[in-house]
Amino acid sequence: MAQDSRQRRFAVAVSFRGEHRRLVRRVVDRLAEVLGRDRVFYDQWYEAELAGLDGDLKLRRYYREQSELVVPFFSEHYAKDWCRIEWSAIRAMLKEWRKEDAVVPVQLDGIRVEGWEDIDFAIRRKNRTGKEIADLLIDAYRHRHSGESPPQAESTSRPPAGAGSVPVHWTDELATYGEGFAGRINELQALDDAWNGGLARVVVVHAEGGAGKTRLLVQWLKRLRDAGWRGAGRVLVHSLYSQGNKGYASSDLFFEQALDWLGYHGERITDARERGQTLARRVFEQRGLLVLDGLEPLQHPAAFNEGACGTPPSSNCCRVSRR
Amino acid sequence: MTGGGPHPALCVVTSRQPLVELRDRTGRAVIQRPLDRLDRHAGADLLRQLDSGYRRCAV
Repeated sequence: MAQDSRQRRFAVAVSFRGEHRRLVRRVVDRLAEVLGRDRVFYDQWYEAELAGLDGDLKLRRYYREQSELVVPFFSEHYAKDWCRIEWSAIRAMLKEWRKEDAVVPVQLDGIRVEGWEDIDFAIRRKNRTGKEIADLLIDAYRHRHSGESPPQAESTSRPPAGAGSVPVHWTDELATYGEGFAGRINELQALDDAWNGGLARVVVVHAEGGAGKTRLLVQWLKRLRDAGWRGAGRVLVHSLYSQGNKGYASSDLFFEQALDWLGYHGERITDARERGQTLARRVFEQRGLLVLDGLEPLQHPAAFNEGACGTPPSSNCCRVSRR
Repeated sequence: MTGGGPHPALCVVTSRQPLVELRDRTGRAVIQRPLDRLDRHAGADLLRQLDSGYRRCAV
């Protein structure tokens, strides 16, 4: 028996393929303005919760049990891989709650997604902006919950649930990593010691590919999260694997995102050293925990230039920490 | 020196190779730590967990 949808955690949950993240981000930003950020399920805002074991089961739970209105963004990409898991959960919900009309797809192209009937209502993108799509969704949500007080907008700086009052940005690449974990007692303790008031400002864990570096990192971060982040002012977790791990990569994207997340909205800094120092200063001032997973795409091969980085963010963190 | 509270700021990095830029600073402020292989018992435990996960997916 389905529970009353008004008791659910999220007013709206979105399901989409990564190819459409830019559009969806504009949609959820608008939804968050009106409904409140903690009433909108958008994966990047809940990375900390999704990390670790059984990510697919957690997603199913969010869609089926914790959302009042679910919005899949249909496109030719949607019926593939990860989205299939989400869609199977949404279809099951549709079957249970057809009367409540709890699923409103956004049709991005002409693709027909199995399980969704042509006669059912969907918002067609046409030339609509993200804000326009969001406003239609808000209308749809309010129409379904007419007679109830609309939720009040809340600050968009609210952290993902489970993170206490600590703003957390957790990269996609680590969100579903880490099925299974064993051992590593000493390594976890060393990371705890570094965070719990040790003298360390930079900890580098290095090993060959597949040794379990990211798995260790995810496990430690999960424990820290479950402990309320133990005094962190901000947490930023970034993976360089998103740029591909073959060959030399650029750190521009990381700096752009990290500086924005840490509240730097000034002119774009082009000097690598100044950029690194600005980032490190902000991490330091905000008692930040900065995690960079898989730095090797920024490093030259070990046989060339001793494996030096092009623009080493970590060495700049170190420089500021020793002021 | 801390970041204004009981906990300092911290940067944690993983990489396939040590960071040569930090080589001269490695010590108290900078720790570079190789990750050893799992010991036999932990490895077996991890394999059991993964096997159980795959079985769950297959079901």
